[in-house]
Amino acid sequence: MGYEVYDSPEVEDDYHCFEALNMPPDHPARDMQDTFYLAGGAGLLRTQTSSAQIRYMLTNPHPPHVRIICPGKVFRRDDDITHSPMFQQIEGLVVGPGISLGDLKGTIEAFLHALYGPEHPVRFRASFFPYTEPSVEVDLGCIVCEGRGCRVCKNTGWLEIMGSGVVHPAVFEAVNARLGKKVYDPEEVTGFAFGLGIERVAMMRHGIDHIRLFYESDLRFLEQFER
Amino acid sequence: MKVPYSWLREYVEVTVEPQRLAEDLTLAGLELAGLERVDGDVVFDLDITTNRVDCMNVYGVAREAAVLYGLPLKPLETAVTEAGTPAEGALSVVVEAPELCPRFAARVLDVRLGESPEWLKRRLEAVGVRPINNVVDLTNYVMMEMGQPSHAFDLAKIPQTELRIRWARSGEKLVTLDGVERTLTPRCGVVASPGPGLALAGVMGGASSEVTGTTRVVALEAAYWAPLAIRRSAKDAGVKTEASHRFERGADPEGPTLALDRIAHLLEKIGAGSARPGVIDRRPVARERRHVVLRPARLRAVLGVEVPKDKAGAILAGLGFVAQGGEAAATFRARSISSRRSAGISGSTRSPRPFRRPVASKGYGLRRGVSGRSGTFWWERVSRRSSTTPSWLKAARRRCPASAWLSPTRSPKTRPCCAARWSCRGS
Repeated sequence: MGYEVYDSPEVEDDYHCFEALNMPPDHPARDMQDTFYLAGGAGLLRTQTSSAQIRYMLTNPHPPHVRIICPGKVFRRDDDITHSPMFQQIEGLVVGPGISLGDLKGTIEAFLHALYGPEHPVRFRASFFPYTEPSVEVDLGCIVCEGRGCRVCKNTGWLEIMGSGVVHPAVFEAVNARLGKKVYDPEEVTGFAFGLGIERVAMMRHGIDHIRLFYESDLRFLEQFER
Repeated sequence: MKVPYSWLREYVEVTVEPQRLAEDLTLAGLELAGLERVDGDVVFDLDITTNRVDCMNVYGVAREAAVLYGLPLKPLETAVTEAGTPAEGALSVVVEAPELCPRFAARVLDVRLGESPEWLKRRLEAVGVRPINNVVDLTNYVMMEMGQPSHAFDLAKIPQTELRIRWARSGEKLVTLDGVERTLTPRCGVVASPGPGLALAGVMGGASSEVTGTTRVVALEAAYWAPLAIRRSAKDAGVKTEASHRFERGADPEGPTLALDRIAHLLEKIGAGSARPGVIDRRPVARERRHVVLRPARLRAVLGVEVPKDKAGAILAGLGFVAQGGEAAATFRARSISSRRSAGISGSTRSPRPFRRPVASKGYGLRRGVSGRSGTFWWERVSRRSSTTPSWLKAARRRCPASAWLSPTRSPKTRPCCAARWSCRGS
């Protein structure tokens, strides 16, 4: 879709992972993501690939236009059958003049239809992330029961697929402040961002109920997938 | 947050089925996490995001529902018949730490302690609160109803009948209502007598001034606490409560006096006592109401869809915003209701669906993989799909661009490609 794949470090600092993303110290949203801190204040392991948004915008070769996809490992202090302390996310960021929530809806719908098939309905639900306003959570009609209600979708007929939203002006302001000039004028440019957990999507796509299967390298598991 | 359907309907006469209401609230950002049927009533369990503390109560959810369906929202009844000597004479309040407590309000109540009436107990149980006695139940009821936590002290157990709001001393000990002795840090706020601390401010009351069967006069407190202070305090004391959950996310600065009046009103209504004249209201920090500027052009730029100005105005008015600035002005200012922190417009979820072409510059086609759905899927080897494109799919692709995403394993007869939302230019 014409996006640049952008890689960013797994070891981050507080600025890129939280502060520039509109989560100042003591922000309640930091509760949602339990963080691994490195000993001796050497930084932290990123809790979301959104930190890549900030890194890219700071070093963007063609400002203020951004169209990136950032896959990568993220780390949270969470461990059960559907959560792993390390998992993979894909982050997307589009910035430019005239980008709106409408573009977000169109892009994400095209992406999900490509992945799951156009017969599955996609729904956008108001939500909250500190770095987007408005924020929307994206649901896909349950692929197991086709919306009739089952165990996987907890009888709602919908599966939560990803979080997204229109980039919060405070994120642009934070980047501008670091750059020392108004590269991303919130009055001129807008953008949207989205992020999804790859394992979670794969688990729903293939009906896999345990996240650790992805990391155990069991051939019986791996051989079921196409190369 | 649990919200009984019957309780919600006390404020807004919703006519839709509970299931439909839950779906509409979910799309508006109040996500349904579960739905229970109890004694002919329906109880919604809503997941409220941290920015929507204004909806962490039944009245707040009713306000959203009122806007969604364009229905009137009934005001809370707060009429109080006061009796006896003035409250100011019976209790004095000193705020020593204004950065901890920008607003502290109190009322003095004469009470007849006892059990709560059945309806009150049933409602509390429906939202997961254990009934204790009528006074404590009313404070919990009003917190669940309109979001303002409050606390009742037994006035006779407050030394020198004076409340001082201050930071805890390092190592100060306080036995909270749950019977646990907690060691406080200077980051914890306390409501204290001139001597010992009486309550962990904004988090939990203390055992020494608890309302019991012998209580005759109650000092009822409702305050606005600085969110960061409560967050740190709850962390240091190692306790989280319904109250601290709301305060640390920013409760309504206009809530305290409203809650006191509401509790006094209900106390009278259930025949459990009356309020002394006057409300003690300390506001050491003057607080201006926040203004939100909404520019229709910005709304269009962000949403990608036109929201007519009068519709935007109606939604905001329904949410409790007061519009300033004329209709003709390009922008209008809205005075926000005090508890609402971000101006997401929940009523707009039913607006016309904005849709543009995907932001893409190249053709794209991700492959659909295999699917194994049985519980023991790794024992069976799932056959790979053939790499050749079936002829029906080739034909479909010529006909309609949307069918590029069709799976070769599924027939277009049962799942027509035109289920895709963009227009099909082919035959």
